[in-house]
Amino acid sequence: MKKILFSILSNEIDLIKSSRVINSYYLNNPSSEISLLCYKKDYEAAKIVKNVKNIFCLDADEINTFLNVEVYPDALAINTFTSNIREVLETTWDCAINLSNDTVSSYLLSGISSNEIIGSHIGNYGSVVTTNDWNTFLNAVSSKEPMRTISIEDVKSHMLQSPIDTEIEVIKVDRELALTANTNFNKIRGSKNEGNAIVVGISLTDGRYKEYFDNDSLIEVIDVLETSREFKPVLITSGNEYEKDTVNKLNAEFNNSLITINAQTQSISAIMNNLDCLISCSNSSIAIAEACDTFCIELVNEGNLEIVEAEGNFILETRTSYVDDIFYLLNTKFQTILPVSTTSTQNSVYETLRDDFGYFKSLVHGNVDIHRELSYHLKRCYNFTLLGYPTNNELLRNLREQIPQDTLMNYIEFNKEEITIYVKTLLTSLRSLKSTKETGQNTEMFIRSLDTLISSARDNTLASGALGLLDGRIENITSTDRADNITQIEKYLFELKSDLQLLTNIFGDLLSQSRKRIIDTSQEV
Amino acid sequence: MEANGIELQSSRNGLSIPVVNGVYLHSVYNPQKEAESFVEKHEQILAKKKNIIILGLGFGYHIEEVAKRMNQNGDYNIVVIEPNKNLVNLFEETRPFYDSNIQIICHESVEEFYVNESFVKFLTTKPGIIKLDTSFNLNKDFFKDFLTYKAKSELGHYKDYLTAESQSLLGHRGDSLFNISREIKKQRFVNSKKDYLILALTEIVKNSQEVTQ
Repeated sequence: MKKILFSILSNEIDLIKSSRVINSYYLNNPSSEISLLCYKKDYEAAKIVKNVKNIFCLDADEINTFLNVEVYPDALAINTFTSNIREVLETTWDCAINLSNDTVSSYLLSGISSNEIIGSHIGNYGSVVTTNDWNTFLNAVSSKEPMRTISIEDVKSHMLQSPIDTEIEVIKVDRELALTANTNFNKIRGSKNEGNAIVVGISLTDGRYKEYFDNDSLIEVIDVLETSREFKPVLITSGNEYEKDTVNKLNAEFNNSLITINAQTQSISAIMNNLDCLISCSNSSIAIAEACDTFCIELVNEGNLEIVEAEGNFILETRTSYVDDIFYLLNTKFQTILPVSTTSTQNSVYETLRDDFGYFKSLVHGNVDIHRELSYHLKRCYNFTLLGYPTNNELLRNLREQIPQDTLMNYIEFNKEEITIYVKTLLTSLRSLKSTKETGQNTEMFIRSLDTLISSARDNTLASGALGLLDGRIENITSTDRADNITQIEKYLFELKSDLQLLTNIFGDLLSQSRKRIIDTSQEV
Repeated sequence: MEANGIELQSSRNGLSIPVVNGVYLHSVYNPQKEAESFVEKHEQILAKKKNIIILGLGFGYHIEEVAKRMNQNGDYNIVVIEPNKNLVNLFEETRPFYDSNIQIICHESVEEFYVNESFVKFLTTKPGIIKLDTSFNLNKDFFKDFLTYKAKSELGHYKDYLTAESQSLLGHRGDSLFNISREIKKQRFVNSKKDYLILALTEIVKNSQEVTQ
């Protein structure tokens, strides 16, 4: 048995989302014994991940208290820390994996005994070491993206070189709880639609960015579902005081007739397996529902990252009232005719899909911001190409056929201008690097232009992926020899040049042959 | 009866009252009634908190009354802080508590309380604090130090309280954790696995969810 340690020192949602990556890894490496290192606050979530043999917990709250409150000596924090990770330190691991890509794990994995480390860790010179390009992408690109181009699950599975299996069960369900839940849900299902009610769970727990289901919308959704022939709403809470208040208010509206289930982490999988749909803000309930393959409608405030990525779900990016969008989505999914008063709200609805590359989301309803959509799909296509995938020609053909040529031309012209700026900075970098290497001059200009390139990774442009990879690759340089460093940086700058060329090639492919114009960076060099 | 500077007298209603340096720790008339008033006085905090620290053991009447009050709300824990070891011994010999939810902690120095693991764990639950005025005034300096205590940052000072694993992690280092971590970061080369672990520990405080870089 190979002893594998996954470190997930981030949060409950990340841990649940990682369950598919972990179980796919286990499927691809059946001779592994999986152990998990997580924070104590996430222990309940860790317990429901399938195929995990051991769970080690770091009590970050206690350590923080001991280190931050003046009355406690730091010695107590060190005692807690060493006692928490005693077994982790006593074991020689075959492989230790930083799955949450966080700083604490990065240091920890470098401090334990392991034959192999996968994922970000800290090298002898105190800088970040990534183990492959996907890891560099995770660390230097994904973490900065305001809109995710490649799903974190896909990036992590590539980092582990372990393909995602979308079919396997990844969450444990307690058999007794499942039986009880089954019996209770059969009763609920039997209450309507000749025993075939569609049971819709509505999570009352706030989202991770403090999004919440407002009371008026809740009342309207419940009212329509309750009066419908097919649907039966069920309120799902996680025991917070504010949720109890909401339940009381809703029950006051509905004559105490509502069904409420208080679902703790251990029992929630049994509940999710019995729901036909969960409507929820971005919280751990929806992460578990997604992991259990329950159909999800996730409410996300504009600008926030969604949780749901698995195929066949919907993300409702809310700007104004979203009740009609919910009914529209339920009607689409279950082929029902819930009353929809308007089909043109300000909100955007995305469907989550999966193609040969991985998960992606597609706008299916709402106003189309063509530049935003083009950026998302082209960036995704470009980032996959950067990481060794073939160019998504089907996407390019679709865009060519479906987007008016003028719009496409304007978009490309605008982005070419941005790329031209990067190319100019890159060329300045290469020129000053050459002069630094040969004469020791222009070092300041070289550093300045390199800095500009690296900081441009945060610009959220089409080229962010390539610039982020440059940042990550340079961070990985461990040599202390100046000449070696310069050679390495030069190599990475040339790689950036080829990477930017890939983007201009994509632009070229997008345009019709007659209007094809490519920035050929090699000529400029 | 007098033992170790503590005289035990009887109140008018027949209850034992310790007298320390001429100070009666409870009412000479009716310690029981005094205890009931004590609870009334602290009603607000007792209604709110499940865990309470009581500064001053006296002879336990006020503590038993507090326990009775807290029992009405369900689970509770009471920790009694008493610096006078002789008083604690006398109390244990004469009329000990039979309630397992009450724990007396007695140390000579204030510092010992803050390295006492079970007391520290109790403190992290943010208990309410109430005092028996007579005991408090009798040991004013001790309780003042207790309430305003600040731990020393140098780890060398706490060597005896570090577990074997912690001592092995720190090696010969005796500075504060953050200074040690700063020193490790200043080195050109991190050459020990233990150094990485120390850096991991200090990162927990900074921000548990920061992405590397």
